[in-house]
Amino acid sequence: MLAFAAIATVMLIGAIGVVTLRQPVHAALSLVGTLLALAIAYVQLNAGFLAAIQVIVYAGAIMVLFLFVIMLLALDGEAPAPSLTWLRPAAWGAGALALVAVLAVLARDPIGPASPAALLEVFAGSGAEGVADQLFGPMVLSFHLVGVLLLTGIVAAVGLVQRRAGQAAEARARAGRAGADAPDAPPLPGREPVEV
Amino acid sequence: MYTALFMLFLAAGFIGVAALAITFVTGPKKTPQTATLEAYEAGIPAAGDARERFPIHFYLVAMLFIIFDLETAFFYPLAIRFQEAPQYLFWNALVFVAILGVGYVYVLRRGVLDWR
Amino acid sequence: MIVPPDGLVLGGIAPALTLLVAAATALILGTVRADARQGGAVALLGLAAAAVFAVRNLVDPGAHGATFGVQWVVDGASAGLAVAILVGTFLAVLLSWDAPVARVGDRPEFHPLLLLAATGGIAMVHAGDFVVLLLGLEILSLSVYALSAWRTGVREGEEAGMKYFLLGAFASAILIYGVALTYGATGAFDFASIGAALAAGAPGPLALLGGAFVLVGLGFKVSFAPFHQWAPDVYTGAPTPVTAFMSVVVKVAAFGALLRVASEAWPATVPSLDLMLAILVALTLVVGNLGALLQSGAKRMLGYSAVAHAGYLGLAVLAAGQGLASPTTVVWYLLAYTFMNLGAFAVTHLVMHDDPQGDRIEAWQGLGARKPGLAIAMTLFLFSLAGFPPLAGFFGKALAVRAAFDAGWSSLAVLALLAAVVAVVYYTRFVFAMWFARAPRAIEVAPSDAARWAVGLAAAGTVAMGLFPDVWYALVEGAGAALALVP
Repeated sequence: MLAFAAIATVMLIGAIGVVTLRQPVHAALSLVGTLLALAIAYVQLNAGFLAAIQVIVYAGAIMVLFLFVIMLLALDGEAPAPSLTWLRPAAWGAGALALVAVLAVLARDPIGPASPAALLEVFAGSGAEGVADQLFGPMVLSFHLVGVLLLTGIVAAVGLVQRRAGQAAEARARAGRAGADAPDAPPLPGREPVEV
Repeated sequence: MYTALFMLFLAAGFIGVAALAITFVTGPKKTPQTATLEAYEAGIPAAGDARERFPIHFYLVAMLFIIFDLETAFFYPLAIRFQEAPQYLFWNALVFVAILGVGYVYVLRRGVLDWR
Repeated sequence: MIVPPDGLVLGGIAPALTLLVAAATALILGTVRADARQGGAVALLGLAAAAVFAVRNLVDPGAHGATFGVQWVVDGASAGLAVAILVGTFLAVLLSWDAPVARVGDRPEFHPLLLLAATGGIAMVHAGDFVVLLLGLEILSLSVYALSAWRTGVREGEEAGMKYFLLGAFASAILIYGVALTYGATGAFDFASIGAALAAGAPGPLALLGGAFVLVGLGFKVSFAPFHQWAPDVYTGAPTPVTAFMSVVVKVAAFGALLRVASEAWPATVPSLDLMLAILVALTLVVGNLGALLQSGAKRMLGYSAVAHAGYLGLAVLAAGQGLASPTTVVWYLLAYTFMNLGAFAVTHLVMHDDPQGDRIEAWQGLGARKPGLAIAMTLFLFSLAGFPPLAGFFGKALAVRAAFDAGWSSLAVLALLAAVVAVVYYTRFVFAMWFARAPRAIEVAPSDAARWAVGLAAAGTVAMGLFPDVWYALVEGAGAALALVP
């Protein structure tokens, strides 16, 4: 119970930090804290697999994306976009609604102290065994299709991004065809190489 | 059950805080000079700050990291159950790695990871 | 306990596997020597080899027994749809053979992405559970998102890619939510178990909400109204060979999946899901046909025409899903649609040269006098899309309407007949422009023999399916079956 209280406190502090810190990077790092604390809570529930996935996918992959987006967009903590003024009240409203929903469910169906035996039964082992039995048993085809999907993601991302060099060559070729003697086609408006 | 782990975190946190506190108490008090506040104390003064737009290339590297990171996630359950059907799981893992290996070889040869 | 599924044999998945190998080959070879012809040649070879396996599946669906348990279904419908996907991809590769979009020197990803998209599509039509369906859909969609933004420095192209990606990701999320709710209600991912669980008792709100979300997610991909708004914009903004590809392959794959879900996962005892589908079909028929009336560009008109055809296909799916019509109706229509729609986009590509500003009806004026061959082919495609006998489109629409009557959706069938009359107007507008309007300027057609081959093959397919409708029908339905338009 003490351990849970400690982890829950860290989670809450992190969550409050995400919404209150003005610097996007600080908010993102605060989110990392929350996600890691959540992973520890999973470990306390004996769900080791879920904890590992939490760290690998959320704290690892998703957070890297967040940080890169912040870096690429050069966000800093100033001047929220005026067109999104409705967003803040809407977020408060949605949050309040979610809170009411959670409380309503709790009121209808109060959670007693969880029995350790029941939890152990749900997460027999670390929880990975059940996933493995499905993923490599009857659903093994989907395991390989995930590989194909990831390969498609690589090819599509690289194909879209790596076209810059080809674009310059293309523009030169077009300029050459048109008989223009300018060696380089003028850059297209609003199309600096650093743009996202 | 996880008391030992908790103690470990506690000890690690204590050492981290203690290291900072001890240097703060015992270290020399200096008023910061302008050069100390620069990113590099010597050399060419830094121009601009780090908050500028970065090439999309960085983002591509992040994407590739995520894709191969997800691949790792799929090997966790495989490893847990590996002893049950070693041959079968080995070949399945090999096929999965081969599919992504094509992607890896392609990314290398395409020069995505070359810094120009 | 790890229990491998029944039938770890590769015979059933051979078409998809062949395409995957071809994609990998084209990808690696493309990094050795960046040459679009090389990628195209590998793609054509791979597609031909995959077609051999797919036809083998079609002729003898039971030859391989169970393939990967319940996850991969090989039957007449799935094998026939796989053939349609391969035909569509083959013609699209021919069409892009000389197109600038495929030839940007250092981008060898074009053909691999086409092949991967086709792989995903084949997985969708063979899917026996929601997991394979979703993964196939994502493989197909990711490739097509990238391909539709392939033109560099063209605003419309980037807008198309962005719009398709954002809306498509949203639709995928809704579909996944629907699958999750369905799993929550039934405890199963595979269609057969879901169908059995839903048929066992009155399905609760969870199952119905799940079914509705699945319908919305797939409805986006097949461009049912009101989820169709992306289609005309994306069709216009994407490079024309890519538009040709996605207009047929995405449609075949998504309708294949919808057909499977409607006929196996949603039992006839759940009429509310059928009612939802029927409402979408009615909306689609109205919106697609009225929208197409208002368009002045060929690509936009064909975009709305694709929405309209989704309405007819939806009729056939509705009837087949209730078990009151043969799924072969849907499969027949989709191959016919592949030929005629891809053909129409192929001629559009030759006439427009991928000029973003060239998508106006003026570009077609006088084509009949200047390039009679192309104009004849385009007339064939448009008349077939409009549903004139004896072309392929006529039998497609007639079969769909017949199926709707059989299943008791008489009002929908009448609506479809009325819509077909409206459709004649917008298709013949372009035919008139080609033959009876004077050319305002000399018409230059993109110089590409391969694209002409694509046009010729598509025209041959459109005519052959119209003249010999029984051949394809019997192949899909099983030996001895004959197509009958009147009961």
